Amino acid sequence: MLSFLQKLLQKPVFVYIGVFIVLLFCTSTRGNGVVVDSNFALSFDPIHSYKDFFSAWSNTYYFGISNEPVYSYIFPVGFLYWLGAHVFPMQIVQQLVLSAVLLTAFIGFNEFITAELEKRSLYGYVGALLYTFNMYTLLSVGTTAVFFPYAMLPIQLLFIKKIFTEKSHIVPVIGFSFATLIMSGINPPLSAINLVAQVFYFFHLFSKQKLSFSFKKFLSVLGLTIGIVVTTNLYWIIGVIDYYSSISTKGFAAVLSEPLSMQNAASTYLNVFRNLGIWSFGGGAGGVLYYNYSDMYLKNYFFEFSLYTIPLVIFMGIYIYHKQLQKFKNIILLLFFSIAMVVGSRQGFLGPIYIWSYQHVPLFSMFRSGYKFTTLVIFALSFLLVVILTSIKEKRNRLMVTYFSLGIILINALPFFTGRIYQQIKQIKSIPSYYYDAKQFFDTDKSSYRIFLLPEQYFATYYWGFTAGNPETMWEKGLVARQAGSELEQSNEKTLKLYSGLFDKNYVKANLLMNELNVKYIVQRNDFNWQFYRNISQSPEFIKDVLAPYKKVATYGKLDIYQLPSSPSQSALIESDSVQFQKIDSVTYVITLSHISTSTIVRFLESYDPKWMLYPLPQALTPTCSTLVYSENGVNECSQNEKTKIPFQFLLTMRPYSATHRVYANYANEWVLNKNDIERKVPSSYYHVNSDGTITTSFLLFFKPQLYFYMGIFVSAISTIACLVYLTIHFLHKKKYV
Amino acid sequence: MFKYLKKIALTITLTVVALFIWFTVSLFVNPQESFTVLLSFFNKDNIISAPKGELLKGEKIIGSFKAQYGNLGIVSLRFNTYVHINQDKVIFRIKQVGSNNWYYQNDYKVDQFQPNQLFTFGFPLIHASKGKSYVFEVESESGKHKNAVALDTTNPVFVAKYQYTKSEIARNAVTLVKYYFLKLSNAFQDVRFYYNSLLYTFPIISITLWYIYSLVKKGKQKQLPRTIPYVVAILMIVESFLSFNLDMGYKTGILLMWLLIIKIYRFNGGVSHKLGVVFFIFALFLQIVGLIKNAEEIAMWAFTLMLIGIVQIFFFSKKGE
Repeated sequence: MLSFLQKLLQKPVFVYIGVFIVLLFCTSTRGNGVVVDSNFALSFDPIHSYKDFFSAWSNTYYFGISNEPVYSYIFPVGFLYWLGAHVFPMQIVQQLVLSAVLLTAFIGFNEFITAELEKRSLYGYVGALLYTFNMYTLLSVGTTAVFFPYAMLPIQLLFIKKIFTEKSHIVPVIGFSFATLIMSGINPPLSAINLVAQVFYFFHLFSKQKLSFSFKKFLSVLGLTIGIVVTTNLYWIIGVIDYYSSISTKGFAAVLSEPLSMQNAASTYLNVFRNLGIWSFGGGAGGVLYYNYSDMYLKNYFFEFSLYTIPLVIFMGIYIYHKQLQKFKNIILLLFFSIAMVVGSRQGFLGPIYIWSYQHVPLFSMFRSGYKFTTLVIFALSFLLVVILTSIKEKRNRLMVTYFSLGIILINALPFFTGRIYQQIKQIKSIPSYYYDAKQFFDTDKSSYRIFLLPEQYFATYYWGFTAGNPETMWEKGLVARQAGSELEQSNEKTLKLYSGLFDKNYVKANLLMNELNVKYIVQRNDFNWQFYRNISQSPEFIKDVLAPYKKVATYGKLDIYQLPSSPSQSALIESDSVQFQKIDSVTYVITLSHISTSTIVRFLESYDPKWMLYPLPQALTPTCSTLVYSENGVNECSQNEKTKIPFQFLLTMRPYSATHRVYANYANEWVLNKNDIERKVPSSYYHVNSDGTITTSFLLFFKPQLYFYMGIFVSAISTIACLVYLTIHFLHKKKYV
Repeated sequence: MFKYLKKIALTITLTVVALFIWFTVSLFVNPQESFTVLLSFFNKDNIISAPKGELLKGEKIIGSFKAQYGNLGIVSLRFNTYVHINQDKVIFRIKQVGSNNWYYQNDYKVDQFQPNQLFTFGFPLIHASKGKSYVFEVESESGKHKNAVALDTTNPVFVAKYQYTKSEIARNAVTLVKYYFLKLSNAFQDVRFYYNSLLYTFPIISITLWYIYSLVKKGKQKQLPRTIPYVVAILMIVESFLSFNLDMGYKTGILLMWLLIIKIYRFNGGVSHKLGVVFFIFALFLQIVGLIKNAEEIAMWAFTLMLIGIVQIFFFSKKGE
């Protein structure tokens, strides 16, 4: 039996299948009901998430939560979800995707360590198990955006090795670029952390392998790698560059205004020694921990100290086997560097250096959430564990340490095997039907407005379940709600003023702020678990009392909808004396101005951003509007069915119209358009001169960075297809001659 | 022999003078507190009850402490203002434990409270306070959600202050010397004293370095006691057990001493690394017995020592060493 098992372990493919089955078992809900994260119950629009994700934070006029909580599911993993959803129910798709990602981490690590040790060792599986089942994966597996880079790191490093050690460079370069594509750069700090590991490994590779590259060849391989990686990943790289390069200092402050100490307040050396950055591991609210297994590892001595044992074994092993580890000194350095980065400014001698770097080194501030460096700590620990195990000469001792490590891994991963990675409290069978009923209500009001949510929230916690994103996003309206995070965040500034104004019954102040924010409806959520964040949220009675002066216009289940007294700014998304607009999508609007005699003002009641630009639109491309669905205060909106696509070619060639673009009502966009100016700057074919001497013309209102994103997707798609074609030809050719 | 004694006498004199400069100048030049004020520091263990978050209308923070000296006149309490200017009023009351009546009470507007700073509640001096226990209360008059302060549990949570008069201190030479040492021992309980006196440690540090340098120069490392590395290691532990956080400068001082020891005693990387591992295990032990804060500090030293060891082993040792 034992020899059969040993033979089985010699065949990696059997091990991988076995691990996949275990993973499927772990990620299943084991009869606890259907786990559907609210994100999946919502429709999402991956392409236009770009605007919200990359730019919403770039200015100080960001009110509440984003409409796009699903950013992690955009390409290419989103494609897997999309594909899977056609065959299986969403919860099975979720299970398959998560298992596949975890399996990728397992296989990637095992193959990487095999390449490093230059022999296949059973101990590689021990390291791979530690890399796959640990506290970080436990905490992050539900947050795929955080998890993808971690899972893809070993494969990336494996391909880096192959690029610089194999004769054929192109295949591993394509492999590396695909691994980076799947990793996805949606969370730039995590991508940057992977880059840090790659740099360490790069030095390790060159010092260990003593690669004899000519400088010219080195440059050509590096150029080829960067070229293919950048082109296949351009869609997200372009977003990151645009985001980080174009935002103002003030805007940057909005992103980073969360106090440095907040993110790494608990990441002490002691915590990192047990593989925990404890970002939220020990956190909770209302006496309920965020993770239902936290208590077990924080208060039970046995479980608590089990977390320390593997790092302790490794720290001792580093000294005992330092001769064998000499060639992996860069990995050891990576371990210590990462530990210091997790702790950040919180503690120790490296804290002041961290703070200095945070304040002075460009882009270093993206590492303010040091917890994320736990990924590299675990990577280095897993790596060193394998090397130490293979270095132990006496078989009995080696087996003893191996079984001990396996036992500890099992103990640390108990929540995986006992179906506790999903919390009961977060299990949502379905979003209550009254949310859909409320959507119908809001759909009938075609004007553009925001909805103010009460009670105040930190995260969305309902009696029917806790959601990652607010289910109110399904109403497809701008929401005004508190952002999870510090009160000091600038993005919370206006929202918190509104809350305090309303709770103080200072209705003049509250109404003024709500008008500024274009709030038309207030929704009291009586199904909100207000006691969970007791210090932040308010009771239904309290909310009902403060909302007494407002008119309740509808009630759907547990939702009470109040309407504000009308004000001019609530009437529409775009204001002008004589304007007709058509929404093409969330980043593209067509504005038609009729009978302009002198100057006119166009107001766009979305958060101000200088990258919202007006482009003169030829009359031939101006969509016609035959069916008005909304008409009020001189503003008309066409039927959504009359959506017209603007040709991509036009988007590429159009030139922005230079008009005064300024902030309106402290948050929105306002342009001043002048008849003479239009006649001077715009070709005559773009406007029509009316009999009374006035002109009628159209503009495209477009969020410019979206164009870069379109171009990035185009380049990434072409590049990916080209790579796939190359790989196909390469393997067919190889097969033919083998 | 006489030359040797003379040298010892000179070293002792210089050391005493250097220590005197350090202590005295620190007490009189830019002191955090007047020379005539003594302080007692208290942590959250001395808070009997306090609301978890905001101090809302009618809620109280209640604390008690035993006065270390006579002339108690101030209790300073640390508040969290949530970085708001709040509009509440609080009532401060104090009395001796067991007494039926409050010795003093007054109300204070909280808009003058500074975020996370100690706010001073003054009252008429209690001359015979030494050794007696007191209880105080801070009650909110109108605190409400989003417009209230809270207790900040950062150490020290509150400070009791004792005010002496110049005539009491300088009554004669004996009272002056006694008070000098009383003040000195009191100052050593205040982390700010260390920070402020950093500059004035220059003479004593110079003398110590000069002494070590002179021994090393003469190749007399062996004359250095074997206990010195242990003393520095113990200093790390002692530093971790102080009831207040030392300034990073002092930790750096201990670290530099360790680096100097590595150089002088020609320790290889294994010494630091092994000591680091021992500290790691010690940190776990401290965690078991519930001394979390001390465990955290020891873990910091464990990391630092292991890092020093690793760098020595992998980057500064010769092959085969």
